[in-house]
Amino acid sequence: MAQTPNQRPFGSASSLVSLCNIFIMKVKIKDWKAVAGWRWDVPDDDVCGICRAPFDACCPSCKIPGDDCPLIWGECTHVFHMHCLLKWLGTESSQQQCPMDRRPWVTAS
Amino acid sequence: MCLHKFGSELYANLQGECLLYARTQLSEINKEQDETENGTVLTATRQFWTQYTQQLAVIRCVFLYLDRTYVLQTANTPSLWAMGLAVVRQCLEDSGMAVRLARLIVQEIARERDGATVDRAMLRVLTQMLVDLNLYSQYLVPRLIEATREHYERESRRMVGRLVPVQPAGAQNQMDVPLYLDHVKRRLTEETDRTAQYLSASTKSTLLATAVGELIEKHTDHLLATSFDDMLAQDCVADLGNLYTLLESVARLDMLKRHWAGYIKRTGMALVQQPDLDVALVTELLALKQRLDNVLAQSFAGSESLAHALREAFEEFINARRNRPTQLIAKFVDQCMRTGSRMAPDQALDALLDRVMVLFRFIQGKDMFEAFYKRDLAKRLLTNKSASKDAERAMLQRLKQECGAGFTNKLEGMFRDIEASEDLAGKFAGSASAAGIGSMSFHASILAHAFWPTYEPMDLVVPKAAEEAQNAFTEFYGETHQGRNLQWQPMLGTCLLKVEFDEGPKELALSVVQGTVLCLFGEADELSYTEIQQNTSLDDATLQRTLQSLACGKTRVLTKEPKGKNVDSTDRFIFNKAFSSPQARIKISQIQTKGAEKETKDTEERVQFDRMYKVDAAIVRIMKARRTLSYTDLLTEIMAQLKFNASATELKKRIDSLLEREFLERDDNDQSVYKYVA
Repeated sequence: MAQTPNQRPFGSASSLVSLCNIFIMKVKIKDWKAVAGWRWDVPDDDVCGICRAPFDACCPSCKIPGDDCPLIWGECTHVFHMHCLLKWLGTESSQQQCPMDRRPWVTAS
Repeated sequence: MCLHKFGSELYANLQGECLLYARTQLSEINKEQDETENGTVLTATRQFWTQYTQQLAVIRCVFLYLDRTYVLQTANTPSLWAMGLAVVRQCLEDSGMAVRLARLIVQEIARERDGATVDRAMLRVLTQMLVDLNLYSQYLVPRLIEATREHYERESRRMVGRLVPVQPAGAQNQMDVPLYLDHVKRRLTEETDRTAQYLSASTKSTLLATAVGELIEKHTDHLLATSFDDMLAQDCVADLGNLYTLLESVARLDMLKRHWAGYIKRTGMALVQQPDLDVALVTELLALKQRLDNVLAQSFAGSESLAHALREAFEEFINARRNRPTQLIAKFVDQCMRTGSRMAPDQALDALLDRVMVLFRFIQGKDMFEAFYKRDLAKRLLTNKSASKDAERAMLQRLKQECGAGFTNKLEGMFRDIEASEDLAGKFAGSASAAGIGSMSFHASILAHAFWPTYEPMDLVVPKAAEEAQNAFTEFYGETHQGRNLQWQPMLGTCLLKVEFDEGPKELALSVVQGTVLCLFGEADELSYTEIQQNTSLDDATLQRTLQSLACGKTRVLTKEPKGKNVDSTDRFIFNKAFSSPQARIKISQIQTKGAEKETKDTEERVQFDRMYKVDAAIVRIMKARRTLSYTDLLTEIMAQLKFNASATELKKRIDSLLEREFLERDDNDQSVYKYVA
């Protein structure tokens, strides 16, 4: 969920709030255990240019997406499953180029 | 005389004398008409026989030379002893006394069966005589067997007809089946004893078979139908053991098996089909299984075929009510694994879970179990409710053994995520990003989507402090894990708030949603429903549930205006300063009912959805290999590949959908044949 910290709709209550704040804080957070899921930072439903499987899924040689089947970003801004790209770079014909734009592959850091 | 070739004459004379003697003696005995108890006929015969054999022995000694020379050298001349016996045999047969003797012996036996005391020594001599004379199997055995048959036929008919339903042990005053079985057993021991005492050992098997045949075999159906269920229900282990041995001896175990399976199915079905029993269902099933296992081991000698019937019956009824038992088993395991569970003490937990796994084996929809187990596991892990990591791992190991690594892959991934999150939390606490979040402690569990159940995202504006912490964490996470986006799941988080009441500070353990709502009251004493909604952007259902838990539950940290059980959008909420509690830390649980039901339905739907893909994949796999296949063949192939039960109509729908998507096409000539489209 995208959060926009400075647009909190406190509205009418805010004047009251500031008054009350003069006294001690009635409610204080001691411990906050949040839970979050992570996704690859790629547009929704985008697919790997090599295996055509969604980035949210894994490459054909893996079974489970996630940490074990990471993505790799090139300086040319193209993204692939790391396994797919490494396999491609391992072939003779790749000439170490990005399969999308034929520029030499440089992994973005 | 033998030296002078008179051997033949001498032998003939001897034979004649013996015959004459035996005939006179026996006809004398035969004249006796008294056939009643201790019949003189039998006694006299015995006397005659003892004397006769003694005399014959003397004769043999005197005429030893004859016996050794003439008899041995001449063909077709039996020895003196054999000749003597043959003479008696002939007399008995000719005079019809053999028949009479046999009848009288059988009569004596019948008297003994009815409880009278008979002269067993005499009977032994007489039967031995018949055996020696070669008359035993010809005259006595058929009569004896016939008499036995009649006797037990009468007896069993009389007794079985009067059998009463199974009575509890100790209160038996009329004959029920267990008592009848005892009786039969006693009868059989008596018969065995009889053969040992005064009948030839060769008769034993026939005699026993006749008796048990009459007593048990002919009534098997009746006995089983009337009392088998009750005996099982009352756990009459010893009596069932008797039944098993008896039925085994008449080769009627197939019927026992049928009734056994029938009982299990009926009992199990009754348990499974009772919706109000759901809570205790697993416990009940475990108890049933244990009881039956006990009977199987103790009474049925662990019979392989009965064990198989037991497994089959369990499988049948446990899957009868679709997915409900599956869910309940998953839930039961969840309850066992939770902290503070009263299901079993630690040392017994292993054994209990092993037994649950036995039930698990019967379930057909293992994927359904996985989904529910995963959901509960997720809750345990995220809310730190898991009683023991070791127990969790042991359970996972069990599932792995049962269903293979593919089944537990995701579950293991969940554990890894939680461990990684612990590491991450430690690192975050020491990092520069955490410096800005003040005294509050912050912990984030980072989940990989593929492992965890799918949670629907929820809109929630969390309190400012928490939000800052979350943002700081996101930043921190981005530094170490590039190319990933975090999506916060407010509905899964928990928090601990310190709240000042009149009585003093209390610590409240809440869900993130509850905490967020309560935090608003840190800055205001009274808020309207709409104000709360605006400040949290929660949807109505969640907000109402949350407010209900805070203002209408057991622990009322808010008061509602106007009072009432339900939350309305026009209500106002006031911070309850006067709240008091003896505890310093209070947990306010969320209101579960509706949510839980929906969750169950969602999980079920999701499994159905997954199954749909599995069916599609199976169809395509099969068709790719076979190219063309008729509808019925395709159905059988799919059924063989799928690990869950799918109805033909469901499969048909999937096939239709694949036809639509042009993975398959119908054959032009035969509409019932499908072709794979490459």
